[in-house]
Amino acid sequence: MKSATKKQITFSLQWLKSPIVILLSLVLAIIAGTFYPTFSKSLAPIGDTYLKLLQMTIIPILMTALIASVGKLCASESARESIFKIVTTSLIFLFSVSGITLVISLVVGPGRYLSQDAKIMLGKTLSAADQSGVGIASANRGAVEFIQSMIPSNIFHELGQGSNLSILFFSLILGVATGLMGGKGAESILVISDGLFKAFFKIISWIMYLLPLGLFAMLANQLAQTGTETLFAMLRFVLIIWGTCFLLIAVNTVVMSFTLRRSPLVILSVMKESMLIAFGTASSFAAMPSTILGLTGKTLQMPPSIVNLVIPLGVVLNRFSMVMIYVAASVFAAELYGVPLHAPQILMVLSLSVLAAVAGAGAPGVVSLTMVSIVLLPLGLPAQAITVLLIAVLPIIDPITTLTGLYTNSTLSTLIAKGYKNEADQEQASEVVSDAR
Amino acid sequence: MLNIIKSNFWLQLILLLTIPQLSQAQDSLQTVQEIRKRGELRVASVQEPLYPFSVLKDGHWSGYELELAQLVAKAIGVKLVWDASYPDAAALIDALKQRKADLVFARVKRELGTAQQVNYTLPYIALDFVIVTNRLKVLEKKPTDETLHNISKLPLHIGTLNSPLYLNKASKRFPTAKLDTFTNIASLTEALESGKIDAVFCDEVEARNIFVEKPERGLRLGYFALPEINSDLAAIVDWSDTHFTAWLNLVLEPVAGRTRVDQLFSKHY
Repeated sequence: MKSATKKQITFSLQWLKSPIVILLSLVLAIIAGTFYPTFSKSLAPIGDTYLKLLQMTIIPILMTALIASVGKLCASESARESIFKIVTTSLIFLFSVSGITLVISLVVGPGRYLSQDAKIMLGKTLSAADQSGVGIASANRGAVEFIQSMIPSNIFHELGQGSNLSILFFSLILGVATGLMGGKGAESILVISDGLFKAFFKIISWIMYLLPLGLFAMLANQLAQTGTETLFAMLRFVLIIWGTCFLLIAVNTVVMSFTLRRSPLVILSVMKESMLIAFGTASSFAAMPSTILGLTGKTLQMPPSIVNLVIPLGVVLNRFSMVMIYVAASVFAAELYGVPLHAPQILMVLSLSVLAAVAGAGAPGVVSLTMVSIVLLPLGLPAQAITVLLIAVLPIIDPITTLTGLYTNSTLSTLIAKGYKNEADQEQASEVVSDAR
Repeated sequence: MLNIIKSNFWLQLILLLTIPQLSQAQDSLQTVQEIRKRGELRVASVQEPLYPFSVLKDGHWSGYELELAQLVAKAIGVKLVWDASYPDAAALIDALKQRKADLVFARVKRELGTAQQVNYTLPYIALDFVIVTNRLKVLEKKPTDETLHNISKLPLHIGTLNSPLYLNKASKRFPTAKLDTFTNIASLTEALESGKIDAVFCDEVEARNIFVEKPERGLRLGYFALPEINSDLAAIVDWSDTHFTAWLNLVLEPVAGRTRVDQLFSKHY
């Protein structure tokens, strides 16, 4: 009797997770955000509450996933090989994204053919920001500062502060120590980490019932915040970002399809939930659990040891979204100020954009945008002005760049996991999925 | 009574010193009476309009200084005659001395040089000084970042108006800079845009007007407020009009120092 009631409740709420309901909420959000901005802005508390619910489990998932996966990896014989593969594949991906965005930006020209009206609009935006006295200080960090910010002096303080980079570093070290320690103690830590990891996924699966409402509130509010005048003035830049993202999503789908030997439609269908959360929340962290669930689920059956390691690492360190923004913004700035980009400058944009994205690891969105100065200042271009303009268009590019960044990290994990087989992984994958659904 | 005065040296001295003052006060009291009798308050200003202080649109003047002048005229109970036919500050001071004008509202900055010739009222607004930079020219000097702190250390070529007040403040704030003077804001802006100078040192109203004239300038020119350097604007009257000045201060006191430049810009545009 009890079981029948439980099934009935589950069945009656399952429609909330259906793609049609989620798509409907997105369409309604676009309509509300565009035509009813005042109403949409009033939805902000609902969106914020939902995002908090999602974020509630992020740090525990990040920690338990990393400790368990790194621990298992270090205990295995192929540890060195796997680490080498993760580092090299990540670098190849980062430079590929930088290169693709650079080619598209140079061909289309984000700052070319700017009308006088557009220049007036951009000039007004910049002088208003300057005159308001709210200076946008560059958050540039040197290598020493970067390393120092990564090492937590007190891990409990960093947990309270939500310092993702420090938590990631600590979890990696703890995972390595657990893996190398061996014996019953290590086994217990890994079992507890696994158990907690599954429990957090159970919580995420409950939160997913509220996804249509959360997406509607967040996306409508985000669209209502977008200044249409600045959007018009930077239309080519925004189109380049969206176009590059669509191209990368297509390329990623094809690569995943070949690697996993599944049709592109199956890949998109499995990843839809994670993609929608990333798009609606514009937060890779919020969509991280859903991504792990999709990749390690029954359909794709990727090894959790790799996915649980690569996805959290990628979300913090491989910031493809920022690489795209830095590259397109550099070409935009060069065209806007009439500074020619020759081969040496193009190489600088290509490599410094990757460096800036990695250097900004763990920094929130707006702070990350100030890192564009790492690319622009050596080119003699005004970074402060470009940062102001990027902040103005961020609400309209953030959802799609977040989605693309996370999806690219998913592809990265499929390539790293290729040929990796672990029986324990297979068991764990099916357990996580059945528990979470 | 006369005997008491004759026998008291100190009383004689006091009377000797105060009688001319009393007579001056009597004169300045006459100024208000004269204005009332005339039925109009003659306020002088400079020909060149400057938003948002004096705005000339379709042959009609408006703006913050005109509003203040109207406030004074209303308090006396007369109509306002706004005469913006004077080319510069020297001509305005002459007009006060020759009694062609009762009062001057012409964004006059309080400084010692002018204070030797005329009397200031309470300041009606305080203006911060500003540095407007040519973004690309500043970056050619390879600053570590674009903050004011680091830009200030660069050997900048700064242009400013040909005024002892501006030169003194600019040289103190930017000791390593090379300073050049220009006759007006238009020539300063032209030099800045063409890259002949790296930056302009001026007050915040002059700086904001650079961007209001052509908003697209915001792309190439940066704006840094220098709140530690400021100057007050006040109306001026003839030195002899002490009573009139005190009376003007009472009228201006409720608005003195309570208006911000950004409020004025949003109101008058």
